[in-house]
Amino acid sequence: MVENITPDETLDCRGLSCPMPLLKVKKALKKLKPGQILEVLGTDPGSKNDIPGLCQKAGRRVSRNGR
Amino acid sequence: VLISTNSILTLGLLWGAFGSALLSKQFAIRKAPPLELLKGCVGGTLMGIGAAMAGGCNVGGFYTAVSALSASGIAMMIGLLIGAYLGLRYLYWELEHLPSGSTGSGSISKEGKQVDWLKIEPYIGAVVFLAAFVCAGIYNREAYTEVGGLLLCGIAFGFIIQRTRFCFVRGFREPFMTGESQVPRAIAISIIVSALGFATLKWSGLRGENVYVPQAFWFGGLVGGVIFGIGMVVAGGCGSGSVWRAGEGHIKLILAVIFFALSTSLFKAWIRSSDSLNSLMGYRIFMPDFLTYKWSLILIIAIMLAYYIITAWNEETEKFVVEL
Repeated sequence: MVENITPDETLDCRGLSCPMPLLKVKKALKKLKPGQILEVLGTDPGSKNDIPGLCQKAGRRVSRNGR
Repeated sequence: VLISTNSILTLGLLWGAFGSALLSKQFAIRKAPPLELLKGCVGGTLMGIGAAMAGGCNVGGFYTAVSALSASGIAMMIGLLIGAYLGLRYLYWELEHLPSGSTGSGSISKEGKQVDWLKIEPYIGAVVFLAAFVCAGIYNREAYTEVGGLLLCGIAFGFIIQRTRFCFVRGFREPFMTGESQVPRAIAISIIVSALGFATLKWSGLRGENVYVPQAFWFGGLVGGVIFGIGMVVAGGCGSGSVWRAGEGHIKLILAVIFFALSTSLFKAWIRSSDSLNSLMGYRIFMPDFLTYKWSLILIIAIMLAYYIITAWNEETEKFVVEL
């Protein structure tokens, strides 16, 4: 979890594998307003590479990249 | 089974991916929600059927086949694209209508003791690789040296594809899903290179012209490709991708691999047992027999360059990206 940051939305992708977490993030990003923070919980090691990539394309910032 | 080429390679892949995931502390039994597990089974079954029809999975039926100047590979490429699109459409539909099916209720095992577990994972990984060498040694002693070598090759390959997270599905899914074009472009370029290599080998007579040319043009390749494409997107891994993810501990992909193996052998046996079914799959078409080597190569290079350019253009414009 990120210290001192309260997410506006939390997406639980634990147990899901590629491409489901990515699709869920893609869907959640559409609903997100500018400045809002989305927290994604996941267990697939691949998500660490995929989600920042998607966010970069969509012009979002990724603040944390932990497990 | 323990001395057949394909199963040894697959075993090696699984073994290498398992060891590699352990070494990098990425192994865990990853339980998934029931719908996801079902998708693993269904996706695996579809891939098995598709592979039986097309004369190979995404590698044997498409990648190697195109490189080996087989017309069936091109048929399967078209099929894979259609299948990936249809599979993605299903995933989108599922997100809208069955969102609970992929809610993160699954868990990673041993939440409490996880720290200790992660600490010893690399050591287990080392033991796993040592065991591989012992195994190869036993094969060597039992006069199956080649099999042992093959096992080690498979393991090395498994290690590499786990680390690089090599994923063929991306080559066909990403143009529709995120627009990302890195993998599609990589596949296109590498096929051009290997087609040139194959053409040289076959033209010079070093390899038989029918090597890696499945009897699947056009029905088997095209329809098999569509079925395989849907399966790989639903399962979340192609032939090799499912195997290394299985080695990483994803229950969904372990199921996919099992169902793949079962359905492909059953379906292959069924196709072979019936003459009409067998001839329905199509012909064994080695393109230079009809187009000459020069024009076959030009055709393949043109198709791959077109795929390269279109996917790169799509990354900028997102023309083919399907919105949720």
